[in-house]
Amino acid sequence: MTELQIKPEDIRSAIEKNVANFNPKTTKDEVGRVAETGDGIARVEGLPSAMTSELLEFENGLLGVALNLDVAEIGAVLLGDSSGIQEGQEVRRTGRVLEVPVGEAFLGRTVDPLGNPIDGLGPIKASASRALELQAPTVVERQPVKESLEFGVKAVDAMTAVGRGQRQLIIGDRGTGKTALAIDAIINQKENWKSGDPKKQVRCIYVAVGQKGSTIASVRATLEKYGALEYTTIVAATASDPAGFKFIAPYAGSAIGQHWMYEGKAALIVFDDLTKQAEAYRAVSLLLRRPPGREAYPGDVFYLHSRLLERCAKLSNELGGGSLTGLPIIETKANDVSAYIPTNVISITDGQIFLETDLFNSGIRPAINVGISVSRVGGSAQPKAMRKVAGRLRLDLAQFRELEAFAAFGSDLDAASKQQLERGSRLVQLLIQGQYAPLPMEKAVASLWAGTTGNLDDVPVDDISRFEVEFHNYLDREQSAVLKSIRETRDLSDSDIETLKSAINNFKKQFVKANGQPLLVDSDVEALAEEDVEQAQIKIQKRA
Amino acid sequence: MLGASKNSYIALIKAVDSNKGIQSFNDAKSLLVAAKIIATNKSLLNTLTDSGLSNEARSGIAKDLLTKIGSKSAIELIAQAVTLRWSDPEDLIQALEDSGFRAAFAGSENSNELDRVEDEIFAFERAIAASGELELMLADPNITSESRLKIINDLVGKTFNQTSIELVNYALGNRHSRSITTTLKDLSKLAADRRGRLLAEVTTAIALSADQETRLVSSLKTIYKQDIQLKKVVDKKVIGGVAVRIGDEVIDGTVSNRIAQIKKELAV
Repeated sequence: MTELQIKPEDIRSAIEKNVANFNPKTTKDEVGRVAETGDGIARVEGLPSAMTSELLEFENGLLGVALNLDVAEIGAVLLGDSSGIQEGQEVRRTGRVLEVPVGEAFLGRTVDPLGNPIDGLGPIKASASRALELQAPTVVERQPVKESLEFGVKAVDAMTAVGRGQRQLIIGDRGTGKTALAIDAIINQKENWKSGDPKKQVRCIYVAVGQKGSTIASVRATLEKYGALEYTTIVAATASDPAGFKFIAPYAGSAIGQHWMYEGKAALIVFDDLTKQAEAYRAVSLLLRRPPGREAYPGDVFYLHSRLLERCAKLSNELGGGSLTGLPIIETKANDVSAYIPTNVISITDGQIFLETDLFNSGIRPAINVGISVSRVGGSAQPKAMRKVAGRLRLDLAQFRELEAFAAFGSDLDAASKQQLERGSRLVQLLIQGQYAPLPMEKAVASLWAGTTGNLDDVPVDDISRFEVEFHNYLDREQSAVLKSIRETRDLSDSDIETLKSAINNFKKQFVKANGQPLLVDSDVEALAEEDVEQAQIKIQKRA
Repeated sequence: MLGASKNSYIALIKAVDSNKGIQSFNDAKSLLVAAKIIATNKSLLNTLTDSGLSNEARSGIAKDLLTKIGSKSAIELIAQAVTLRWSDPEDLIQALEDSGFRAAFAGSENSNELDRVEDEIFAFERAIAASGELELMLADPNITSESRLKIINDLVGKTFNQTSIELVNYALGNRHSRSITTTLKDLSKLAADRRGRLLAEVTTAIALSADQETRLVSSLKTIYKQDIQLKKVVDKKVIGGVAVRIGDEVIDGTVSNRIAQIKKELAV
């Protein structure tokens, strides 16, 4: 065995080589001192020219953010492990406000809120860096939301459509599928990404705030499994990270997305979830002794979310027409949407998707409560084809829910109500959709067309899902032209409707119900009367 | 201090600096005692800074209440102070304390002792910075002024000027939630300020030669465009080079700082 020995000269020359670029400079620094520290915050004496949200550097290299600028001291949040900070240590200004590195290299990576990679895949070569706190685009820098951003989830695309540049809140109790819905939206951008068309491609950012490390890992694994990670960046501040990290994580993710937006690209950002960010901000604010308000949140907790979500926008064509679509997630307690943080965020966003525990438990997934879910701007972004078939869907379903509650008393119903109930229960079945199974727009249109026009009324409720899948297969096989036409024109023309009509009628003839019976049974035919029976006679004429 | 308080503060300090009659240790003591009394009586403080009352009423109240505890010239100054505008009542306290310190320094200057007082305050601050135990003991909020004075006297009573001891004791007892070292630094700054100088704390591994000192002072003068008062600290830990601290600014050219920078660079 060879003896492994490194000569001291080698070590010296290695160090020399590595510090060759070191250029000692003696500069005039402003230096303050830690007056008090604990619980992830520090009070710093001195530094009279520090700016708000400037990064401060502590003696061991740890960074902090100056949040409170008081007359004699600065309240700073520590971004990292605070155990090395002691009273009396020196603190220096960095002259930089909070910023993160941004760029194309972030796609497919998992980073912490300061932009440092935490996925073990090596350093990220950033193309630029972007300040976390920048003014949102002004009124003239925006344009109305008109382009759709499809979730691939029938219920969402039909009733609460989301457009590029919109802020759509996903709200509900724990375990109602909020994250799943957002992940579905990310996975559905795969086709756009593969098309290679920069106009269609949507870069995604998933910001995890205060979640378990295992949850983040499983989200990452899911995205990887469905091929969605290559166009997604994950910004993670786990539950064990200091409150400062959780507070800035959404801003960091937003900065990465804004970089793409200002480059004229489309981006989608999921904030999962803002409740935990508000809680982290509350912790920081209370420690910094800012006066507590309702539910002990500080007075500017509304501004905390409004300034974050205002940065989601559809930019004007002069600025490249990029967009940043925001999907904030809020967790409610006991389905109470009128609590403080939920109402705040509801009032900021352009609509909400409300997921309900009862619906979820009764197997209706996604468990969207049609009554209180709305999209305030998405309607104009909806493809024409979708608007045509889904126009009355929301209203019909809401009426069905009302009628259903009434019918539960078992009273006799008139034929019209009965028919509405039948139709409603089929529509509900039709909107049920599995996780990670995004449906292309044209197929969703075909399904919804069938449901809303009564073409499914004769299909048993239990067979709806299977009927839908098989109908899609049938269309792929026999009538792919109509799907192509819907996909390309994004409209449902009269001739398309005719084709769909004949297709569904033909398909019904070959559909077999769960009980083994064919869906369309040939009706019994009465025998002909004796005298009606004619006999044809064949005469053979011999050639003369 | 901000706004109206700042102007009043400057006016008050000017009054102390220009009035030879108040520049004595006794007057200074009266001012500090009065400041303490006003600070501990919140209602008195609020009355004295209540802009709803007329100037005559406020100065009258100050005179009536404080005649017994102070020298005549001190009372006159307080009566003048309360007629000025203060945006925050607490600012009045600080202004009175600072005028007290300022009067004491002016008194020492008149008797050619200001250099000594300054050096002693600085030396005391260094001693506290070097001993955590001493800092903890003096920072104890439950310690009485008398026992603190006893500790200080035990430590430096034989060598220090009486003015230094009294000023340090008062400052430590009225820190207004500043740390001990910051409090003493502010005190040193006031003394340097009295002579229109900036206080520069120079840290080196070995003592500076007289030539180096003059060179350093003259180059600092060109940077800050003000006379410089050097306070020298010898600390073996810096290994070599010079670090200068002026107010909140540090010019660090020490070997130890460069090593730390290289360490950081290698760690990235």
